[in-house]
Amino acid sequence: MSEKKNIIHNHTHSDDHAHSQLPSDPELRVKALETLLINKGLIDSRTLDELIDTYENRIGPQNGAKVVAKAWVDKEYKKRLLNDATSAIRELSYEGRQGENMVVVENTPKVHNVVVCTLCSCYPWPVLGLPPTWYKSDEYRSRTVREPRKVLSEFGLSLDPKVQIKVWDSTAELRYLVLPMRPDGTENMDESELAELVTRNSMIGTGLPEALK
Amino acid sequence: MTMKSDYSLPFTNTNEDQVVFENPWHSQLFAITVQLSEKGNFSWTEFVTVFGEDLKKESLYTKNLDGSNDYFSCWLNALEKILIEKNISNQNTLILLKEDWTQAYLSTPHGKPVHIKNRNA
Repeated sequence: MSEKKNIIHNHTHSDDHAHSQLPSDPELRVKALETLLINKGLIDSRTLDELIDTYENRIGPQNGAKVVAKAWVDKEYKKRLLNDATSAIRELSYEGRQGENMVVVENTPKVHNVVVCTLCSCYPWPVLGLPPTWYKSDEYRSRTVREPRKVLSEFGLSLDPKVQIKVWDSTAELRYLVLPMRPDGTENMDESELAELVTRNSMIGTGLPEALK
Repeated sequence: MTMKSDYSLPFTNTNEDQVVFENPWHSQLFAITVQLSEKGNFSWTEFVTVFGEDLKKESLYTKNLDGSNDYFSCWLNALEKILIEKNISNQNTLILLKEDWTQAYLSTPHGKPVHIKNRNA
């Protein structure tokens, strides 16, 4: 097998006879799975495309930013969000897979919250979309629990030593969202302007909302 | 509290900040798994349990999984394992189908669509 592949790959790739480029091992295995499952009627291509489009283009941290901005301007909403996050987030029509049981943790001058998933990469999809690569890395997953202050400093977030850091470990059943503190000097901004300041990392706890420009 | 704008993360690639899927096979694998779970073939908790075990095992051998290809390789291992455990497939079928795709790529001229012959899974 390998000898045969070598022969094929060592020839000159001229345009008139070159074969298609052989995908990597995992790519071929995924193609095998897709073929198998479509043949068995367990999945369909249209739904696969829709799922990919949804998470590539339609669901992302902009959803969570609207939740945070609303909590900043509406005290009653904030109260509901902290008491029953799943229901309060559903009020904005953000619900569904991986957002069935949400908890919102509030940053204060004394407490800074940060979210991790030590098992794999559990993450609140309806409000943040899919996790960034670093959230899935070994380093983030293991070190955030062990040395959160150091990890946050590597994100450029230097917290006052007096600020307590709370680390929340997401699971398949329970997903956390951080409610960051509203930046100073934003008293005259409306909800949609405020939402523009809310970054993805500020809702994971590895960053802060953008400062006023 | 301060934020530096020109920081570099020793364990992250900040250039990839906004990329949802770094490779098309990541997105295919993700969508296949979600669809299978939503159709009741396994629960998401079931999946992440097997996936988490595989990540843990892999990180013993590979220092610092980067959260990209190696992360989705573990995801792929977990999904194959669950499908075999649930008798949806078996190792032999998966190997044969992969071989079919390999041969199809090697025998299809560059630029032409690659297809495999229908094999009864």
